[in-house]
Amino acid sequence: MPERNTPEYYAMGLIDQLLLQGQDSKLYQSLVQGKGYTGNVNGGINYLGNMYNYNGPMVWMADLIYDASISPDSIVHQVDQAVADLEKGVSQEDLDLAIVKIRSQFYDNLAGLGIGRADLLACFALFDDDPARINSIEAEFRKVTPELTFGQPTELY
Amino acid sequence: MKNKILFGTALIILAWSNLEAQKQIAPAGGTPKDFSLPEKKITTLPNGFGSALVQYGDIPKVTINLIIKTGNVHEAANEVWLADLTGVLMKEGTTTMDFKTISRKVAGMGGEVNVNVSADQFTISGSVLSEFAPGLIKIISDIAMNPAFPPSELERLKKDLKRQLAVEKTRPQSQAQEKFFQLIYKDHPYGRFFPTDEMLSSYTIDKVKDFYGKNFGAKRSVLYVAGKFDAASAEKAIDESFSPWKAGPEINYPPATQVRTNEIATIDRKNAPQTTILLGLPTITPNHPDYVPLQVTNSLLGGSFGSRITTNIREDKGYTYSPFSTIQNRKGVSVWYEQADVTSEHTGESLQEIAKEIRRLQNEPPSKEELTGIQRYQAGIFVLQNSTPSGIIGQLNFIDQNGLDDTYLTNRVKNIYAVTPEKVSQMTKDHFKYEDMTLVMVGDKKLLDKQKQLHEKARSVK
Repeated sequence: MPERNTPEYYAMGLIDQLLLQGQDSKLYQSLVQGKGYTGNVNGGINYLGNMYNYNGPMVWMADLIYDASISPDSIVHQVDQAVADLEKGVSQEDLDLAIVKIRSQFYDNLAGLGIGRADLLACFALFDDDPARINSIEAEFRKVTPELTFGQPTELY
Repeated sequence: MKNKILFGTALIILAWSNLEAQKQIAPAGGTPKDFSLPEKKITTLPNGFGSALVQYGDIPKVTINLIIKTGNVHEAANEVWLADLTGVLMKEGTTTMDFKTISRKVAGMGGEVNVNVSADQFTISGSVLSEFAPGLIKIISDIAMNPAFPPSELERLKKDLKRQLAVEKTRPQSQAQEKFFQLIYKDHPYGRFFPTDEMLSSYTIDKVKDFYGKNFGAKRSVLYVAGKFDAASAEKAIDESFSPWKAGPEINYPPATQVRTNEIATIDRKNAPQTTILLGLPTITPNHPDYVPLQVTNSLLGGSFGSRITTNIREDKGYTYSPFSTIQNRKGVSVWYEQADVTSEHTGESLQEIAKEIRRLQNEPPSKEELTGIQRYQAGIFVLQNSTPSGIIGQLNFIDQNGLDDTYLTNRVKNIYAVTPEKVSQMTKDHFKYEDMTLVMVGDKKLLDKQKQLHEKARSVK
């Protein structure tokens, strides 16, 4: 993952939504619906929390269970295709959809068993000395442009 | 000089640890507020369709669950997971919208639709931004009422189920559960966990349509809406979307009989470093007057981290990492069981320790202090369970499915604290007799056979 709180970091949040989050995501549509390699593809940023409550090096990750008869290369090929699609360009419409999804997910993070908001405030205070950051998260995602996202996928390798 | 340095260092260390000690004293917790049930609006449409709307919280999202009272329970013996196949096919699209369209539409609302199938119910659900409540209601109704069952997706979805089956069958915990519930429920669907590959291969679109047609309809369905949403437009959407649904079949769960047996079943897992133990028996159901005392007793015995069994075989003996006990509720029948993965060579000893803890609790009421700790835990968990829209829906669905009324929820905290130490011991005597329990072990059979005497000794622990 790019460094926390940079424009690239927020762009990665939206790329995660486009690639992997939800049944409309590129990887769900290709690996599950299209190719039938698997029944579900899981993953994202920070398996032990969310994209806001970590501080340090982090990976974007995806995992799935597939039949032994399928070669891993076939799966990686689909991932390459999905990334290549993003490299071709992300429309404003797609970005807007990703922003709706990430906003909804952010609300879920805040709700989180009644303590999500407390967790985020504590993290922003501890990591950034700025708990008020919680109020500007949404705005940071809206700053991401198609051009900024376009630069991202090649960084994955 | 040296002494001065040593003394100075000692002072600094003392001062530091003092500081540390001061930092570590947390402020006293506040007094817990009284629990109050959020208001709900219940409506029944002329076709028998029910709905419950609950305004809750300030996060601008709404959770919508459609419950249909059918599931694996309505499968014939050669139809295991036909309900699951029906569920995944329903998700594939309606007569007017394919999967890609549905998923993109609901993504635009900030969520997705899931279809979950369990023994007793189908759940079609989603959680979206508040303003999209009517939109999601319409899409959920379309999926429930007008599934397309596209034949083009059948083979792929059957393959998915076969993969799921293969993975689950490798897990000793799943193998133990399958055997355990087979022993207790015999020929009832509750005792059938896994299909065969051949069974899955045999399912056709017609079989799925048949299952759907026989089991779905308004009379068996309830829609729960919880969170922040505009009530008027939600009610309008419910009325418009679900009124046209056929009334369909009555709620009809085939009654289950439970087998009480202290049989010991062993499933071989050669060279297994751990034995998965599943030990339990039929128990009282949620509408029994002693159900809350049962839950408190379960919590104290094995159902919480500080429980007797866990403290013994995990903390004290180190035989296991994640033991737990729980109550499984199905329609009209319940089962209590303890499950633990223990080091193979200590299987017999683990069982003896569990038997000892049960006997101790039968003979000796817990202290007021220990019991109060458990009661606080139960009461606290209950409040937490009611502090999210999906938690609230879960509670309302629970009382609906178990024929309880609101008093189960409104009196729960009071009832938890009303349990006395003597009651806990009495409950243990009445409902947790080790010698009556069914035992399933998945582990190295050669090793377990050598320990047979230890298993039998556990039964006669005094």
